[in-house]
Amino acid sequence: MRSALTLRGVDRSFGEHRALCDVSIDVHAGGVHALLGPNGSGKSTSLRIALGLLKPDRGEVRLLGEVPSGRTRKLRVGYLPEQRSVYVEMRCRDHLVFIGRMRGLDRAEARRRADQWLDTMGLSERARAYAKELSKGMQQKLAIASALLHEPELVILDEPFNGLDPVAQGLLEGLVDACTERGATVILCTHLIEHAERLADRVTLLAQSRVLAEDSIVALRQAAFAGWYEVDFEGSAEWIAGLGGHKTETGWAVQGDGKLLLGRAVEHDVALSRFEAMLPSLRQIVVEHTESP
Amino acid sequence: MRDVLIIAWREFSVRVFRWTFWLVALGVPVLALLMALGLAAGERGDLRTVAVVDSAGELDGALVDYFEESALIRIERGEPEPERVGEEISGVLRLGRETRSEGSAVVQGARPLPTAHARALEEAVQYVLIDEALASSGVSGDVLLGVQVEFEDLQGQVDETDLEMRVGAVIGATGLMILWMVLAGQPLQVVLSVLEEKESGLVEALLGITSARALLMGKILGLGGVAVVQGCLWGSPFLVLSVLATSEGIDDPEALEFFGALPGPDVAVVFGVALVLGYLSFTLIAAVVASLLPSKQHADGANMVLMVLSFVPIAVGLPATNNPMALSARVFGLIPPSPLSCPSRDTHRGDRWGRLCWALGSRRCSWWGCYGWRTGYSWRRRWVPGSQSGAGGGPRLLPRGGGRGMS
Repeated sequence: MRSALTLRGVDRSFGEHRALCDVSIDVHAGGVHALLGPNGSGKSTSLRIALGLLKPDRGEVRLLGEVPSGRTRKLRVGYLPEQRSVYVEMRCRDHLVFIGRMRGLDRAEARRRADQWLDTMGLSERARAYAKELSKGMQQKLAIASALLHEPELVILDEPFNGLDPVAQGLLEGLVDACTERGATVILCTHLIEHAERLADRVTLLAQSRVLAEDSIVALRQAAFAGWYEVDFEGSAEWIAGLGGHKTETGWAVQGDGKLLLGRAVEHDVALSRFEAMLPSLRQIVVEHTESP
Repeated sequence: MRDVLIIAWREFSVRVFRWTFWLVALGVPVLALLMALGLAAGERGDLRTVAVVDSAGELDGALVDYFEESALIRIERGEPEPERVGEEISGVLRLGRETRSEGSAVVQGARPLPTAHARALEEAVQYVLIDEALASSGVSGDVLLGVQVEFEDLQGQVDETDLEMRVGAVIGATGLMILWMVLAGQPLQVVLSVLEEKESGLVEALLGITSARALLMGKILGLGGVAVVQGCLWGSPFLVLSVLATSEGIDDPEALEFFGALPGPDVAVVFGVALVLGYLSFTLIAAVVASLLPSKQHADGANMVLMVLSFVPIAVGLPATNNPMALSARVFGLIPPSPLSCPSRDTHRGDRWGRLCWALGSRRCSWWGCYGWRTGYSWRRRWVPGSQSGAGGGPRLLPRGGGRGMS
C-alpha cells in the first residue's frame, strides 16, 4: 500500500511541554484518514510537522513518499488550517486567484478555477465582496476552496466543519468524497466524530501526545467489541434471562459467545427475528481510549 | 522570485486599488495647499517698511547686505527726502551704544521696536560692532549720530518676502512629513500585515506554500511600491510648486532649494538611494518587531513606539543641517555622518571648520559635509566673512560673539 504520509517515531517538545511522544502515523494513499483525539492530544502538531511548519526533535517524516520539500507542499498538498485562513481585506475572487497563483497556476487558470470554486461553494454572488464582509461560515467555505483549488494529491483539513451550517457540512462531505474519487488522500483532523465516522476509512487515535490506536474503523470497532448482542424474538424470555440478558428499548441485550447464544436459542426453540452484534461506535471507542489512564 | 512578485503584487494591490487610498493620497496635498494659503492669508498689517537714514553712508553696505541675505527686510536705497528727515520719525532704533545717539539733532526719542522685523533689525545690528567697524574703516564715531530708523506703513514689499517665507516653511514641513510617512508609514504596515497573517492562521497556509523569506521580501517590495506611489502623489505637486517658485526667484527658503535641486541627476540619485536604504532599514526593524508580537492587540503600542523612534533622527538632526529633509534622508538612509558635519551652524561660523567646509563646498561636499544641497553660494555668504559682493571697503558684518582675531 502506497503511503501518503508517514510519521515514524516523532518527538516534539515546546519547552517543558512534550507535545508529541514517539508518534508514528501511516496514512495510506487514497481514501480518508481521520486524526481523532481530545484537545491538546497532538493532532495539529502532527500535521504541522508533516507540512514542515514545525521541525520534529526526533523522528522521520515522509510526505507523498518523499522527504517533505517546498515544491511538494506547494504543488501536491492542500492545507486548511484550523483558523479561518483568509485575507479579510481581499475580495473573495482575488483571494482565490492569489492562492491559485501561489500554488503554481498561471493567471488565467487561477481565475478560471477561482470562478469554478466560488460557484461550487455557493459564493459566486459574493465574488467581489471583501472576505471581512462574509459570515464566518462563508469565510470557512472560502478557506476550504483555497485548500482544494489546485486539486492536490493530499488534502489536509484541520477542523474543517468549524462554523459550517448543516447544509455546508453536507457540501464539505461531498467535496471530501469527490477528492477520494479522483484518487486524492484526505487527512481529516476533527473532534466531530460523527463526521469522521461517516467519511473516514482509517483512524488514528491520539491522546496525551501518543498514538493510542491506528486502524480502519471497522477493525477498531471489532477490536473493541465486548461480546454484546442485541436480540429480538417471539416467545418466552426465560432462556435469555437465564443467560444474564436484559430488556432494552428495542429488544434484549445479552453478552456472551455468539455461537453459544445461538445454540441456546435453538435449544429453547425460539424464533429469532434479530441477532446483531453490538459493535461500539467510534465515539465510544474514542471516549473509552481517552478516558482510560 | 515568482512567489515574491505575486506576494508583492497582492500587498500592493490590496492597498492601492482602494478608494480610501486615493482619498488620502489626493487629500493630503490639497490640505497642505489649504494650509499654505491659510498661512499666507493671515497676519497682515503689522509689517513695516524700514528706512535707514545714514547720511554718511558708512553703514549702508553692511545693513543692506545683511537684510538682503536674511530676506526678512527689503531696504530701499537712495537719498531720503530732505523734508522728511527729522519730521516723520515714528521710532528710533537703538544702534550700538545708546549713549552714542544722544545729542543728535534728528533723534526724536528711543523706544523698543514692536514688530518681528524690527526685532530682527535690532538683532542684526548687534552684528555691527561699531567700534571695530569704525576702527577698520577709519571712520570717526560721530558719523553714527546721523543714523536713524524711520517706519512707514506697509507698501507690499515686506509682505511679499514674508509670504515667501511662510509658503516655503509650509512646503518644507509638508515635504518633511511626506518623507517621514513614506519612510516610516509603510514599514508600520508590515507590522500589521505580518500580525494579520499570524492571527488568522494564514501564515500556516502560506508557509506551506512558500518560504518565510519570500513572504517577507514580497511584503517589503509590495509596500515599497505603495510608498513610491504615495510619495509620487504627495511629492510631485510640491516638486512642481517648488521648481516654479525657484524659477520665480523664490529661492531663499531652504526647503525650496532642496526641491529645486532635486531634479538634478546627482542629487536625485543619491536621495533615491537614501530613501530605499531608509525604507529597508525601517521595514526590517518593523518585521523583527512584528515577529515578536503575539497579536494585533499589541501592535498599536509597538507602532506608536516605532513612529516616535522614526521622528528621533529628524528631531535630533534638525539643527545640524541647512535642510531638515537632507538630514532625515541621511539618517534614514544610514549614510554615515561626515567628520565635517556640523552639529550647529553657529558653532563654526567663521572659524577654521567653517572655512574648511566652505573650501570643500562643492556639491559633493554638500552631501558629505553639512548637506547644504547646492547651497555653495549661500554658504559663501553665511560662513565666510567678507565674501559679499559689493561690500566695498565699508564696515562688514562680523561673526556673532565678536569676531576679534578675524582678519
